[in-house]
Parts: sequence; C-alpha cells; structure tokens
Amino acid sequence: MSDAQSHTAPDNTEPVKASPPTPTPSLRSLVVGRFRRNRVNLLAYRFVVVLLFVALFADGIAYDKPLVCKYKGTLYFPIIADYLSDLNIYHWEGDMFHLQWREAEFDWSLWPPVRYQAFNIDYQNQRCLSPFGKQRVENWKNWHYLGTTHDGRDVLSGLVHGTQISLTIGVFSVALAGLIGIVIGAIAGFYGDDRLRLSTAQIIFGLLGLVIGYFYGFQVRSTALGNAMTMGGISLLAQITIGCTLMFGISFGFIHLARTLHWIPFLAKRRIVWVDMLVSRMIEVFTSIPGLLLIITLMSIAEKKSISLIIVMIGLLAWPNVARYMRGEMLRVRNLEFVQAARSLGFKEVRVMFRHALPNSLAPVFVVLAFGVAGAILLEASLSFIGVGVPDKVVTWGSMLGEARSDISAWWLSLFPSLALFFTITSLNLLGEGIRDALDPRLSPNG
Amino acid sequence: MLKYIIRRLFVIIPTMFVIMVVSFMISRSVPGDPIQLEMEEQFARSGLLDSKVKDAAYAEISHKLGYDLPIFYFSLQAMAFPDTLHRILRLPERASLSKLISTYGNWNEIAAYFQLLKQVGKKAETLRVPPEEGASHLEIRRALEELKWTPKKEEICFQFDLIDSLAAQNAMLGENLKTDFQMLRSAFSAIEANATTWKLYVPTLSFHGLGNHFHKWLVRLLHLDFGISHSDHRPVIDKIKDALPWTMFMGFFSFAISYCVAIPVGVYSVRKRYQWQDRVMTVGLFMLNSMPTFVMALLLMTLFCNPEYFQIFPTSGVSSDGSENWSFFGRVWDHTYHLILPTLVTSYGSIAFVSRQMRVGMLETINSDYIRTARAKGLPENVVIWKHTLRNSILPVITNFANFLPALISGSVITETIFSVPGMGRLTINSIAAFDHPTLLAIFTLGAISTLVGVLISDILYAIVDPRIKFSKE
Repeated sequence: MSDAQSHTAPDNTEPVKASPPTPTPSLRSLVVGRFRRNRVNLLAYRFVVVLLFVALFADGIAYDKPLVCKYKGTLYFPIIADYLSDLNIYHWEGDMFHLQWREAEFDWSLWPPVRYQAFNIDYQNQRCLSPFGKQRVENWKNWHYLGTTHDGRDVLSGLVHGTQISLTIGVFSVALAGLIGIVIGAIAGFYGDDRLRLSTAQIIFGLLGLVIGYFYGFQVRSTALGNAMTMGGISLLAQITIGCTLMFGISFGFIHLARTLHWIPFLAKRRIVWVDMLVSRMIEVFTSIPGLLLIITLMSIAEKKSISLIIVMIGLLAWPNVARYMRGEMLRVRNLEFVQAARSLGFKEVRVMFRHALPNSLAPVFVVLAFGVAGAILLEASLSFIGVGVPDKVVTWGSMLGEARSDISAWWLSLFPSLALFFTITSLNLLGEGIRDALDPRLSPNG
Repeated sequence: MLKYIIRRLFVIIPTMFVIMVVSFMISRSVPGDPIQLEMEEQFARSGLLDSKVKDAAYAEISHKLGYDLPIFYFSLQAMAFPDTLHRILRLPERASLSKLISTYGNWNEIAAYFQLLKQVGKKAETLRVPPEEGASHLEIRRALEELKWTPKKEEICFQFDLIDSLAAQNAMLGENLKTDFQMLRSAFSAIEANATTWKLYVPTLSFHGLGNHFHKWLVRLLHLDFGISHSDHRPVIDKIKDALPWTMFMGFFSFAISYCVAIPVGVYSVRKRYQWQDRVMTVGLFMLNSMPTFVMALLLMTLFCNPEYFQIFPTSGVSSDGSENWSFFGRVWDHTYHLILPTLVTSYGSIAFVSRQMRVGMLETINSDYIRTARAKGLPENVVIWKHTLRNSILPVITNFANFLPALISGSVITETIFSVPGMGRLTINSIAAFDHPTLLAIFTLGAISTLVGVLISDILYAIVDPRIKFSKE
C-alpha cells in the first residue's frame, strides 16, 4: 500500500503545498486508528505477538539443557551449540556429549523456565501425572508444571514447541497460498473477461507452448518430481516451481514468437481471451475438492511425513480463497482513475497491474490471510489429532489432544492444548475481523 | 429459470471431469501393485496356486481393472517411449522398464534385453538340477526375478555379478546357463552403448480412443463400482452403504437443528441490536465460531460422559449392548440417544456461522429505505423483521446450504472418530490405518462430487430467491 502511495507522491507535491496545513490522513493511518480504537482488537493483536515470540524462542523457553552454564571452568551456551551442531559446524566433545545435563554439577547455570524438550520422555513420570498430583522429581525446578502425557512427556514443553509448529505451518502455508492466490487473482481481476486481446496466432502458439511446456516442465522431469515427493515438502515445492516456470516460460516464448506470423491477416486478427472465466473455473475446481480428505489421502500415500509436506499441501490447496478476494478487489480497482491514468500514460499492462493496481488492492486480502492462518492451524491440528499429519515424534497441540482422547480423566491433557488452540484461533479470527471492520467501517455502530 | 439451471449444469460438467481426472491420478500414484493386492485377496480364499494360474489371474484382474490399457484418451510423451508399454502386464516390470527408458531412451535395445531376461528366467525355472545345487538354483531364479524390477545400473550389475559367481560355483548350472548370462550382460551393455537420450526430449502426441484406463475407470465409477476394499475384501460400495445412513442421519439433524436455532438467534440479535443482549450474543457466537470441533467434542465428552462429572450420555458407539432385541422404536430412541452429542458437535459450528451471517445481512438491510417505509406504514416490528428484512438478507444463509450435501455424504472425520460413530468419517480413518486406498479414493470422489452438487444447489436457490442473479448472468 505504502509503495503505491510513495510513487504517486511526486505528482501530488504541488497540491499538498497549496492545501491547508492539516492534510487528509492517509488510508493507512485511518485504518490503523480505527483498528486501535477497539480494545478487543488490540488484545488479540498482542496475543498474536506473544505467540510469535513464544514460537521464535521456543527453545529458549523449554529445553533440556541450560541456556548458559559454566562447567569445569568453561563457559557453554548449550542451546546455541546444539543449533551449530545441527548445522555440522560444531561438535560436542567426548564427555560433554554424554553429559547428563539435568544431574550435572555446574559451577553456575541459567536454565530455561521449562527444563524439558517436547519429545523428552521422563521415564519416572509416565502415565499422565497431574500438575497438582505426585511427581517423582528431584527438586521443584524439574517439576512438570502442566503435568505429563501417557509416555511421560512434559505438557507445557509440548505446548511451547507446539506453538512453534502451529505458527510455522500457519504462516508459511498461508504465505505460499497468498503468493499464488495474489498473482493468479490479480491476473484474473485485472484482465477480466474483456481486457486481454491476443491475436489468433498468439492464442494458438500460446496453447501449443503450454502443451510443449508441460512436456518439458513435467513429463521429461517426472522422475525428479517423483523423487521429490518422497524427499519432503521443500524439494517438492522446488520441483513444482521449476516445472511451472518452464511450462509458462515456454508458453510466453511461443506467444512472442507468434508475432512473426502477423503478416498473415487471418492470424493477426485480435480476439478476446476470457482470463477471468478460465481462472474462475480453476478456482471452482479447487474449492470443490474436499481439502481435508485430499490431504488425508495424499498423506497416506506419501512415504515420509514431514512438516514441510503439510505446509506445501495446505498452501497448494488454500490459494483459491485468496485468489477469489484478490480477483474481486482487482475488478473494482482496475476501473479507478489512477489505474486508468497509468494505462493512458502508456505503461505496459503488466507494470500497471503489478505496480499500480496490485498494491492498492492488497488490503482486503490481508483479512483473508489472517483467517487463512487460523484455518491452516486448525487443519494441522485436525490432521495431527487423527494422527496423519506431522511425523510421530513431533508433539503438537493436535497430537496431544489426540492422546487426551484415550484418557478423558486426564483433564490437563485436553484442557491446556484446547485453550491454546482456542485462544490462538480466536485471536487470529478477531485480528481478521478487526482489519476488515477497520477497512470497511460501514458495519460497526460507532465507526 | 429452467434455462439458468440447464446452463449451470453444463458448466459443472468440465469441473466434474477435472475432479475425476485428479481422483484418477491419485489412484494411479498409489504405491504398490493394486493388481497384486487384489489377487492376493482372491487367493487368500482359494489357497496357493502355481505360477501359470497366477499369471492368468493377474492378466484377468489387470484386464478387469483396466491396467492393460493406455492411461488416458491421449498421451503426450517422449519419443523414446513406445505406444505399447501398457501391454507389459506386471506393473513393477512396467515401472522398471519405463525408468530404464527414461535413462537410456532406446526402446529396441531395452525390449531385446527384457525379452532375453524373460527367456533366461523361464529356462532357469524349468531347468532340472542335482539336489546339491538346489539352493544356488533358487538364488539364481530369485536374482533373475529381481532383475526385472530394478532399473538402477548398480543393482543390475550387482545381480549380474551374483549370478556369475553362483554359476561359476555350480557345474550343472554354469554349464547350462553360462552363455545365456553372457548374452544378458552383452544385451545390457548394448543398451548402455547405444543410448539415444535425445529421444527423451522429443515430444510425441498419440491418441488412444475410448479404450483407455481412465475411461474404463470412469464407467465403473458411474456404475458405482469402486473396487474391492484392501482391508476386508468387501466391495467398497457395500462398506459405504453401511456407513452412509449414520452420517446422513447426523448430517440431516444437525442441519435441521442449526437452522432452527440460528435464524431465531440472528433475528433476536438484530432486534436488540447494539444493546447488551446483542453484544453478549455476538461475543458468544464469535467464540463458538472459533472453537475447533474436536475441542468442543472433547469438552462435551469430558463433561457429560465422565463418571467423575455428569454421566448423562454414552461415550461412544451408536447402540447399547443387547439393543438388537428391542422393539423398533426402542432401537430408534437408542440410536438417537447415542447420537445427540455428536449431532450437537457437528451443528454448533454452523449455528454460529449462520446466525452471524444473518445478523450482518440483516443489519445491512435494516437501515434501507423500504424498511423505513414499512415502519412508516405502521407495520408491527415483528412483521417488519420477519417479512421484510429477513427475506432480503437470507442470501448469505443460503451459502451455507452448499455445505449441506458434502456434510451428508462425507460426514465429519473428527466428530465421528471421537464418538466412534460408524459413519463415513470413521470409515475414512479406518481406511487410512489399513492402507485401504480404494475406499479412501471412493470417499474422496464422492466428497468432491457432493461438494460440486452442493454448490450447484445453493446457486440455484440463490437464483430462486434473488432473480437479479439470474438476469445478471444472462
């Protein structure tokens, strides 16, 4: 949004100087002001910030090694050292590798508030111990503040690390869905059913290019694609991206080539391409696929479960929602004066679309994105709840709730993850509604 | 009106087709050999048979399921691939061959190699050997089988070396098969030597007509033949027939409940708009809306099915022990009693959604001129709200109708799992656990179709309620 304003700013310098000293506030400040006026919105916003903080520093909050410690005269930062050893930069030396951190005698040490990792199994405290009941721990610092699960995992630590997983899946899958949805929706809305005119030659060549592009992008590389499916989400995404780039690249190349044939009058005749209709059909197809069922089916086929795979699947299924809103907003914005002005200045269509129209139609999309994060988190929790989502070793809110089902008298197992999930979803929904109301104050009584 | 419906129906056909293709593609990419699985199920009943009968059975099942046909109406593939690859019946062999082609690109050499491999395999199988060479004989036969499935060069070479060393150790085997093994090796090196990888980058388009796997699959699907379940050898359609009534029962009642509750709640909220009743309602409905299903289900279960708190409802299942002998009404009451909690759990979400939509829609219309006119005419508030406002703000409520059919068909995976209702959702979960892909795909396909039809119905209802939509689309 600010981007668009900044580059329309030079044209406005003259009138602004001439206008009275109190300039009209920008849309952004208006919206932020309206958003902040509602206390509940602020509360939700702060809660989300706290969640982000917990997700970012989950290891600093719950970890089975101290943050900082001095052991036999040497200073260690065990958590950072663990990160480095994951990256193969650092290796724990002999006796430090086998050190029993919880029992070791440090010169001094600073521990995280929770002294367990989510997957740590405390063999002395198995079979669902209540937070207020009897626990076999040496001192209160090792207490399981929110009880343990059936295997003896710490519930609080599971919550903290579950936050990380939930938000990772929510944010990244929505980022992926947003990226795809915004681009596709913007193209559909901007060109509509009337603005894209291609010559007959270009249409024929473009379609031909799509077919050939599909061949080189996907058919030739089918082995690589098949392997990527077993390697996890990121490589799958990379392969799909390469495939699509090749496919559309070849198609665009062909469309450009088609200009050489324009000396034939029949082929040079321009025709309308119904971009919006095609995209709308595509959206319809995607939305009529039952997402949860498809993901369940695909996850049962996938050889290796991984978080990145879930992210990619949710992202690839959730984009139509974003695209629909983007398209609607774009259909409105493309008729506004500043877009017309940009067009009449002779800028290229693509530039007008991405530099002028798109930044000014993003605002309503943020609403969908906020709801989308909530939806993705919920979907992940449902998947983990029925046990088809994340790998078995990973503890999430959903998987803890799934465990709670087998023992309904262990209230701490169902209550705390439920609360975490409930507050997260509620505050994300509130955030979305808050932004929507702030953007469109017609509906609120005092706006 | 009829014209609109017919046009809408035509639009749905391509969408349906694409969804079928997606579903079919997933079914083709399921790991493992579906024919083999199906065959094992047949032989689980008839006991062990020799290889010839097995081959015949394999061919028969392959033909029945359509795996012996080209995949689609047309194919776009590299020139290196022959048109006739689908005639290789054994799916693992076909997969390995196509991997070989995509590495070397020379079908003629590969076909020759494979033909030779089969001949040598047959010869090795029929060879009579002295008992002291029996173990090695078996080993060689296994290695030759293995060679048919491995497209990787290292593994092929490894098997070659194994066979050679075995042949060198055993006089009888070595004498009879030595030349064959030599020929196999040379055939494989011919593949490597004459690789034509350029052929992999030349696209060719070929048409196969109606005799293709997808078409056959589609026709079977239209006859509601979803194949045989891998978990209990029953036809998938029978399993679905067993599960569907429970889901439909729950779905129907949950929709009835949600509309009966949501519309009055929405109306009440609007009548008390911006007063404290409305505020409380709005907040409550909002929280209900963002309450995940399984959280709600667990909550209700902990509260009402737990001997420590209130044990009012049964925890799971759909009938009490011994209820088979009860009277008809007794059984119906028993099922209803068991399904109260799950139905509540499936309906609260749409209660919240619909009444919030109602409220927003009615608030938008209540300030319009014609409502003011209605009031000015002296109409009582009840009439104004129920007759004038409600009608014009019912559109968003109809949107929810699109969810009705999918909920009736595919049910709620989560709720049915928690309450152990033997409906479609539960069937899904059980199929996942048993790697029962035919059932899963059938559920997926039915779910997709019902979503599409649900959207269609809600679109038609839209057009009935609001004639402007019909005209604007024309």
